[in-house]
Amino acid sequence: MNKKFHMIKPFEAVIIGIILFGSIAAIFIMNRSGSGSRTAVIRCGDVRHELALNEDGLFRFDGIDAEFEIKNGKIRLTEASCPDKICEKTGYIGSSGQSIICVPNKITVAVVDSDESIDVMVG
Amino acid sequence: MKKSRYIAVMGLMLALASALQFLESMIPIPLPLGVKAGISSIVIMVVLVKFGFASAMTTAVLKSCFVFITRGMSAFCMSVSGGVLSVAVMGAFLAVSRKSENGTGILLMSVLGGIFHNIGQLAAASVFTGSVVTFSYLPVLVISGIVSGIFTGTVFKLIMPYLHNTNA
Repeated sequence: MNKKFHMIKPFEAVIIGIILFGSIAAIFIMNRSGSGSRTAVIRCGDVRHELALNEDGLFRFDGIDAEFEIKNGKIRLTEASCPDKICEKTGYIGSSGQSIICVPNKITVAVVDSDESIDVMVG
Repeated sequence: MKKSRYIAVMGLMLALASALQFLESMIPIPLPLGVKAGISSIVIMVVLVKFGFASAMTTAVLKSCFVFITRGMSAFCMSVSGGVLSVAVMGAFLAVSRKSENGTGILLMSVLGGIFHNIGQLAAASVFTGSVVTFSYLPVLVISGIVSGIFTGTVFKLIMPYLHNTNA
């Protein structure tokens, strides 16, 4: 068989390196932790709720099959009915730009700065 | 290759891909987002390189049908969009790199396949949730695609010599 088949070529390493670097840079840019107060925007289909992250507590909403817990300025999703529990495993999020997604239940939780134009952020 | 032999081998490949997929889904990974190593994509890559684009696409879609049976509708949509996009990108890459006679960069093909598998899944997730918030996971999933692509590409390169020794 062709020996070239086995080699890791420099151009491969360069392209992979560029993509890797870009992704790491994007993570740092997106996870900016603002100093102001933050809000969690919870959406499930047409249902939409906002929770300020400075109030600790457990929250439930009609039409959303999950519970939300806010603690120390961070929010997490608990007791979701989905089988894979990816949303629960995401754990607490608190920096603006972070989000929790539950695909089977169509739930999204996005953390935004409270003074930001939320409609632009959530799209 | 005789048609009957082709059908038998493709059936084996599909069974192998489905079994590996199921096995992998049973291994709990402490990371969020459903980050996976993508063991079954090794089988898809073998089919792509040895039997061509159409066979690989068929195997990927049928593998997703197995996901539909075991894990339901949303998992199927994520699987099929990731699988189809991944095979499309890998097939295009293979076609271009063969024409340029540089030798095929299997590792890069595998990495691109891993990245676009995750991008396809993200696209399906954003359609499902009706929200573009899902794309905030893009950088993390691109990195996970690179890591899994390097893993599957390396395994693929290790098993490739043995596949050349068979007439399958």
